[in-house]
Amino acid sequence: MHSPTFLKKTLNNTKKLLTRLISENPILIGGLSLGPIVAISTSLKTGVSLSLTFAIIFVPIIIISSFLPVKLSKSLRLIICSLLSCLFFVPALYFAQTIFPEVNDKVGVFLPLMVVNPIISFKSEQISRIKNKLSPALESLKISFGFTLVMCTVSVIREIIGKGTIWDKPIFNISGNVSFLLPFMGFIIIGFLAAAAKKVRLKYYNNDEEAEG
Amino acid sequence: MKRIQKLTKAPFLRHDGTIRSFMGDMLVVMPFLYAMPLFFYGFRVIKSLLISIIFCYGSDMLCYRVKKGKFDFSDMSALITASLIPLMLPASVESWVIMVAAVFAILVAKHPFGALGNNPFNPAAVGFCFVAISWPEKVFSFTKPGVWLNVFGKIGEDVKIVNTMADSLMNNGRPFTKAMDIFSGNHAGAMGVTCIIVLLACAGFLLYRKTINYQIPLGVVVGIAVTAFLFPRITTGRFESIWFELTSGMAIFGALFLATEPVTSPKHPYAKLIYGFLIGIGTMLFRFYGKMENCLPFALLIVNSLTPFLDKIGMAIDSYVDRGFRKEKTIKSAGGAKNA
Repeated sequence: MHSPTFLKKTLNNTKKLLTRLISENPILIGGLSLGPIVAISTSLKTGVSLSLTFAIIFVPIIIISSFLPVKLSKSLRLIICSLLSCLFFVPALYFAQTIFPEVNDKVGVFLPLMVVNPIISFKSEQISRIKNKLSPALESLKISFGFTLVMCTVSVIREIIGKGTIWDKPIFNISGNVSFLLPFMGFIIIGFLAAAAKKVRLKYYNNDEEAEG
Repeated sequence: MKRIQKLTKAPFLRHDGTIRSFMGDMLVVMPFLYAMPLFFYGFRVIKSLLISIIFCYGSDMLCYRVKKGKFDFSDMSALITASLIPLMLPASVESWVIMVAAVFAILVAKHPFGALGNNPFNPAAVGFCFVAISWPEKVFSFTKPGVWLNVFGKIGEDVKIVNTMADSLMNNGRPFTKAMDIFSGNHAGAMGVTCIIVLLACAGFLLYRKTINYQIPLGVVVGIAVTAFLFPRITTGRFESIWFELTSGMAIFGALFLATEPVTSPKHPYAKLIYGFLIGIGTMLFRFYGKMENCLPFALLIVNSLTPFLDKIGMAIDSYVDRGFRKEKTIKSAGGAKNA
């Protein structure tokens, strides 16, 4: 049996990790990659499918781009990253088609659009300045988790209220509100989540400053 | 009471008044707007209004509490939003639809943007649009006027759902409603939008008090009339098309009470005209291609997002006109000097 101190420490670390995932989230704080979330995150299956595709493309791209020379111009770096994204999109698509074949048709153009995701271009540029080669891998994992967290949260909210189901299984005996499946509701939910993330971020940085002070 | 000296924060007033006097004028006309629905549909109308007020004020207070701000009782904007929402809905609508519209208007359209004076979209229109998209079968089911509805519960078994003028026009059919019935509101429709004579009387009062300006309603009317004349939906004549398009749906009501909201509308006179005209054309486009009868709030929300841009256009037109006028004056004065 674990000691209470260990449990307390684990809980504290989990809380810190969650806080960092929210307060440094590229979607909620940076407003990046809103398109797929607003347009197609209407069921948890779609959310998970898109998150996995994103992770498969994003993690290797960031690791590889950290090895690219620092002197490489921004435009050339972006072109290389986009081409590499196309390369990694092939296994990602195969993976998504195997696991969620029915979701793949619903997602439509948004799955291939992952290749030119603004998070990839933005982070690949930022990561080139980091000298430690381990941190890009951790950073990419953190961002992928952050993306998954937001995608799944929005998907779950929209699926429960919009369809009255979760993972395509009915949970309430209600017909659902169709407006939650429309893009405008995606914007509104993202807006409220962004406000919550900003609050967490302010609290997190204030606490950090107090701890440093 | 504090008078507005500097026009730094919306709602912008163009006369010697306060926000409270402006809101007060709007509230003064509300009993008249509710009088005819009360006569046609009974006390269910009052119940709808009370529910709307309770939920609008409740949501407003809740938001101020969350924001740790002080709730200002003199801010009557929530009361105006609460009064406008039931007027756009049928008398037969269930209470929970009004609740949702009221809560959505305050929680989504008003407070996230910074409450009074900062909302880019009209809260009442947002509330209406949300329930219209979510439950169109409830929001667009109208009963015949003159049949009093049950105050609580269902509307009554003998009450029939009837077609409206907007519905006939949508199916390219000429409505057979008489002019007298149109003026007195004796035809099916949303609670507060059918009685044209009351709407015009209220408009006269608000224009006299300078609470609203003539440019926006004029723009809306011209926008709808021009589109109805050029592209009539009925085959019995272009002028009949204008008449029915203007008096059906919520054209007049929207032009007078939704589009003229000082926070969301442009500040410049030319911009106001363009703003109204765009709402008119947008409404007609929704009528041509949309599936909903009362579509002015949808057009209004789209044009609301153009307000800052329209203000810039208005200023540019103003400076252009001013420059032309000055040039003319200079030429005249130069000519005068030469003659002398």
